[in-house]
Amino acid sequence: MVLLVTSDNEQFQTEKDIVERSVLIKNMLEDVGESDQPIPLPNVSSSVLKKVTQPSTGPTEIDVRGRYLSTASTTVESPSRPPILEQSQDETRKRTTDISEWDQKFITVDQEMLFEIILAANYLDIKSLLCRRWLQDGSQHDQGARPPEEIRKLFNIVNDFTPEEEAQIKKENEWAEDR
Amino acid sequence: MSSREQVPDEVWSEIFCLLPRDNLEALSLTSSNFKDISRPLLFAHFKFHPYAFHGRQTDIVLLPSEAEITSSLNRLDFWASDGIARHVRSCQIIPWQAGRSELLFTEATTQSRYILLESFFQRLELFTGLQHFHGDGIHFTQAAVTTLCHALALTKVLLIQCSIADGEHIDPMSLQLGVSSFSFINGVTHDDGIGLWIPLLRPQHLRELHLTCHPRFFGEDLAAIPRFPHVHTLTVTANYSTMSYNLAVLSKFPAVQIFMMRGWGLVQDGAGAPVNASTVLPVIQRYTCGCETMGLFLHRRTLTHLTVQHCNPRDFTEQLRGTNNSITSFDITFDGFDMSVLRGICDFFPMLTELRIRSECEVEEDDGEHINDIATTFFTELEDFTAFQATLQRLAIIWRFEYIDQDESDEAYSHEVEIPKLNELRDVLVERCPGLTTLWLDGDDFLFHWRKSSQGADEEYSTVDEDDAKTRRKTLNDFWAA
Repeated sequence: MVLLVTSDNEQFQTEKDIVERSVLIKNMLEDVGESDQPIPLPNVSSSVLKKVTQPSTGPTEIDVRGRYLSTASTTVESPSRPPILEQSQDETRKRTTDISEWDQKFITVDQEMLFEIILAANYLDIKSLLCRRWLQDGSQHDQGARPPEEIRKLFNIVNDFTPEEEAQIKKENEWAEDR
Repeated sequence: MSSREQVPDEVWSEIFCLLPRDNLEALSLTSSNFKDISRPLLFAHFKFHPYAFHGRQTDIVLLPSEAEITSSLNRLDFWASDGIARHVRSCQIIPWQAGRSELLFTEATTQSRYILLESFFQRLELFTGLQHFHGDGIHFTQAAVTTLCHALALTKVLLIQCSIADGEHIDPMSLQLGVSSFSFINGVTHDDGIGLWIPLLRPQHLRELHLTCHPRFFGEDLAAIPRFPHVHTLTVTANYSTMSYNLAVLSKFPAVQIFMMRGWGLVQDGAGAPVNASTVLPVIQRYTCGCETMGLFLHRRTLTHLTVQHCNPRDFTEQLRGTNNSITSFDITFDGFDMSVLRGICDFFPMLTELRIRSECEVEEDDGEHINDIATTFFTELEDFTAFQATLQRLAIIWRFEYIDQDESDEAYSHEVEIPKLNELRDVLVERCPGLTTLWLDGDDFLFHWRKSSQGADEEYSTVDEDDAKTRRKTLNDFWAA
């Protein structure tokens, strides 16, 4: 177990293999060696750290490699772990659109928390695992991308394009692709 | 209080890096800020088709309709425009495949055939951040080579089946290609212009060189070949019967650590005598070769990784004399093998920590059911095999069978084969090799893999379903590399 101390001085006992998914914490643990010294996280509040490390409730699906799967195949009871910390970066690149119950709960956090989590994930160096899932929505869009309008809503973005500009960008994006 | 503005653009950019293309396109449409962040990613890789070929028939150049040519030129101009060109990091210039493309092609006239290709090279200098250039089936002129040499950020060039136009003058005195990686892949039986490219390379810059092309790649005059003191990775295709020449060329690469040699012919010097490679590639660490040339570096003390491609087990075992105490990783593909060959490997390489054996054999099919007892017998016997070194950490044994029509006079294989319990075999192997962490056992119709975890539950997979095994087999390289 590893003792983490947040910016608001709360202490969290967390399993080592979970927190080591954060490159920052992994490096810190390597620096302090085998000591029980607490790991300070001055840029992460307790409410955010809870979101990043809290276990999901209920059965989670785990594949044979002990990694998280959100597609229904073989369901087994497993230690509850947040999927965010379960996947390697490579897997995240490969897997495109699974949105788990855990993620969906996550998506429903308010906007302020969303940005705080992004910043914390950046600080902890696990951002790749977090943000990808928010931007995609396989469950509603047949494994495609979230439409621009939804992304605007999610991140409170003001559309500063004229319809002509938007049409022009669409055309240019088509040119980006192999033809 | 956090807001979108508090998340710096660099963080968004790193997040965007991980998103698939369709997400980036959606993000670019949300706001001008997100458009600016997504553009360098959307326009980092430029793929362009300058003409079409029918398959590999490269002597007839085809072009699409006038309208399509105009559209391609408009697209090229957009990519070469001020706001976009600087984002381009790699270019792939590759002909359309006539027949596979939806476009209609007709044979181009001599005057027009290179209109798109020339237009591309005229704009290449605008891609100021270009790092990688990949040309496939490209017809180079002096002007095109010159433009490529002037691309200052370029570090990697890959040319596949490319040619240089007859009569073009490429002057190595005034032109230099300062890349760190150069790959040239072409036919090995005809002159392909590699002799014009090699003098352009700057020996002080080059780190990786891959040549799959005409074997006399450096010309006849050995004294004229420069030394490449920093090349650490080298691939060559060679005629083994001129091995003295090949080794003289290799002596110009004293820093090579990773070496791959493919080729053909009997291993001889030019006059038919045996060859001695004792002074070339003095720091070689990893060697990939055919069985014929395995002996060239087999006893080099620096060599730790050996990969032997397709080999007859008898030819292989004939080369094993004494022991090799330096090689820790061995990978070989046989056309069939047995316990005695495995024992020979374990005796010859006592320091092995990593062993991967693939056996590809043809067997006669009895009635289309595709099953035989070769792999099952092998794995059953493996339980009693005691020659593995205790130091072994990673083991893969892969059987692949190709079923050919049954000759009526031959005995058919029985269907009644019992698949051994490979998890029990794993337990036996772990007892003999306590350091074992990774196991991949593939019997073609069944498959088992296991990886020891330092963090709790081991990773294990097992199937006796042929289709499941087929799907899972595709993950071998990732599994093995992890």
